[in-house]
Amino acid sequence: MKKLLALALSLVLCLTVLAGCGGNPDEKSFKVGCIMVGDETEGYTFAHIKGIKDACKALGIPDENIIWKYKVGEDESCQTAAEDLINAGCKLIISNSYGHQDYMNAVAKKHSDVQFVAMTGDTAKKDNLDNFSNAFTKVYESRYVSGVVAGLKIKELVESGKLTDKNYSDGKVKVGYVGAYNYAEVVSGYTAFFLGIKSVYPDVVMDVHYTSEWYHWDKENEACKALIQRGCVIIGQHADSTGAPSAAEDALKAGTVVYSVGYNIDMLPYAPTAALTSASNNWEVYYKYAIGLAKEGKDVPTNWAEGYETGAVGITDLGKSVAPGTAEKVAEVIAAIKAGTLHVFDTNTFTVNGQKVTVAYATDTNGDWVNDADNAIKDGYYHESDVTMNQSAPSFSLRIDGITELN
Amino acid sequence: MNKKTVKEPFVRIVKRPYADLKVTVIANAAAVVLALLLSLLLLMAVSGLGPDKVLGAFFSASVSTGNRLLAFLQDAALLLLIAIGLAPAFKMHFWNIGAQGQILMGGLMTAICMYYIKDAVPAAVLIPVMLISALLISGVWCLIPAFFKVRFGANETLFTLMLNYVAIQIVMCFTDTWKGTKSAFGVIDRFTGSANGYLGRLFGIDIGWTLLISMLLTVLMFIYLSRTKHGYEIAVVGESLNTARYAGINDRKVILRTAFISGAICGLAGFLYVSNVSHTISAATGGNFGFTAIIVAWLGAFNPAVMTVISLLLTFVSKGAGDVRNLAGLDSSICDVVVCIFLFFILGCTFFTRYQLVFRHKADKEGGSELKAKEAGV
Repeated sequence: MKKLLALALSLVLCLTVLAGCGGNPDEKSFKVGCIMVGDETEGYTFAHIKGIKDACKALGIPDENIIWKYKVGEDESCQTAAEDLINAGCKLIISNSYGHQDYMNAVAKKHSDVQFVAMTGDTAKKDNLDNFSNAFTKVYESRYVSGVVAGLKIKELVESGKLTDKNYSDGKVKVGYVGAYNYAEVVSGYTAFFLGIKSVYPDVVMDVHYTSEWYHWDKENEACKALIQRGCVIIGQHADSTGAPSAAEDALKAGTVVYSVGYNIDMLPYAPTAALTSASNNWEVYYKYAIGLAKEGKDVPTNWAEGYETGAVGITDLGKSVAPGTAEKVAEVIAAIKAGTLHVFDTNTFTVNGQKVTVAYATDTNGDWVNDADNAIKDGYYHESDVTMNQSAPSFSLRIDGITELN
Repeated sequence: MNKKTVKEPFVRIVKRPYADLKVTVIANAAAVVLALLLSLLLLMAVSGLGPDKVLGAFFSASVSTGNRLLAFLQDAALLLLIAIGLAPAFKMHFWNIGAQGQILMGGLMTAICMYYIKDAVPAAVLIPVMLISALLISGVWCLIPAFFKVRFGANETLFTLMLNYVAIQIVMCFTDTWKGTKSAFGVIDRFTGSANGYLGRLFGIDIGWTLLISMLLTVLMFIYLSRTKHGYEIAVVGESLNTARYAGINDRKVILRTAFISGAICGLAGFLYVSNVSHTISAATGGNFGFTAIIVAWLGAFNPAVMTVISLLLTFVSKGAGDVRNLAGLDSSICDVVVCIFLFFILGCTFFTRYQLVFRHKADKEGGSELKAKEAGV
């Protein structure tokens, strides 16, 4: 009882001080809240942080008006973080991991005066909320280009006779891929990568090894080692750490012929000889657009997806191990993509169960995570991340011939 | 040589014969004020912000808008509810540090009911089913170590602690199975297409039920511990097992019963998390409140009224530090540091409420005679 009284008195004291202080003076200026699945030590999040910072600098938003929440898991801590950001006065809240979107959506329903962007999410179209959006780059374009780099390397290795029997399966060169999760975003990415390789060296097959983690150095490292063990000569990845390139570098130094194609960041510091290039996103393009709109009090569109045409995707610097002539070929492919003469998911370049595909759905209408509406195959190619179809996240989920999912 | 008497030390530490209300009030108030000063200085030093900004953010974080007030009350209410669950066990000297696991099991059971029953029965049936199954499973989760304690003399501290990790794994097992190849389980109604089982608004507040239930439980626990036979038995068993046995109290029964109640109340918190607050379940459900509540219960001396003040204070401080953190882009650990400064000072001040410093000259003159008088029972 005495303690209670003591504390009650001290609390009264605190509140008296409070009365004199009043609210936050910065409340009126525009603030952005950022919910990041990792922090700057992790490539994927680093790319987002850089994108947001650069965009805000360009828009004249001071650093103190960007509020960061790092290492927010894909669970209710995302809700807590979003609520906290709203309380801190943020009018636009961005989350960067796929699994954040449900929690973002739950908070968006309660706060119609705040805009929410769930990056890489895919439910905004179905949810139909005014203040909840999705956005993704057309990263499949840069994955395709990174595939071209890998294909040229395979061609060089085959022609110079450096490959052994172990590297072939029925006369086709083996490629490996470390994937995060078994769903459209990853499927679309590795398919684009595979088609890129095939465009320059058709006789390839690919094994995909899932880690069920977005960022897990050890698992990615182990998955890469397993793929190298199987004889894969190129290891692509849709995973956020440097685990796979490191394993490839170690194996290459130990005498195994294997090269790595990374994601998000330049892998050359981690794998100076094994890394060929990385498919990357330039998030600044979107962030400048979306934050700019929100700052002016305008609605952020439900979906956004841009690629090479606006510089939203790219590949990182080519490593010293790439085949001669790679830079020229890459420039040619990029130009074709920009010109609209090359379509990554051209139905003439792949088959499913030996058949050419004419119907592939892009939208899941009933929430069972299987696409069941909107045929995306038109004009001879799959319209991936097509905003005219109100789609930003990758939806391509066909398992094409030549690719094997190991787990 | 022999004439030389041993010089009396400059200051002596003397145990107070009884708690002095005035000293208790002053010591606690001083502790809070000092902690506040030190925290604010620290926040200013690490954030590089001026005192006006730091003070403004710190004190407005919990109350400046309705939304902030609700977020503050939500955290304080849940923290208090869990501490209320721990209080009877602690008072009985049963060290239940498994609140986190009990919250998770209660939350998981709630989620399981919602996940599998969906719209099959009306909410009026589903919600009681969720509630009862959550209370039962969490009660049993705490009853297991209690059983081993009374039957085999197992150490309940380690046992309850370890069951936290078992509970975390069970939760992950379910959510991993449910989410399949997705990267996150998400919110239950988004996953199952049914929001049946969500506790609706009360008094127009989303978390109205959480606030009401917490307050209700606090009052009930206060009465239970101080005004009932059960409460008395708990106190006796806690003070001395032998006395309890001598007085004819069935100590095993009391321990089992109290452990069940303790676990069930933590399970109630889990139920509220899933059904009313976050509408999802994961290993992160409950945050760290299962552990923070231990401190709340201890600082509050297992008295629900004092615990209420403590949970409000700690939440206020944590929210305040969080807002300064947001403003300055600091690491989120700063909130823990500030909360720990408060804990340090509040715990530290108990030294002054339990002991008295007697200075040399004072001991010779007033203090000494006063003490002697007290000792003599005058």
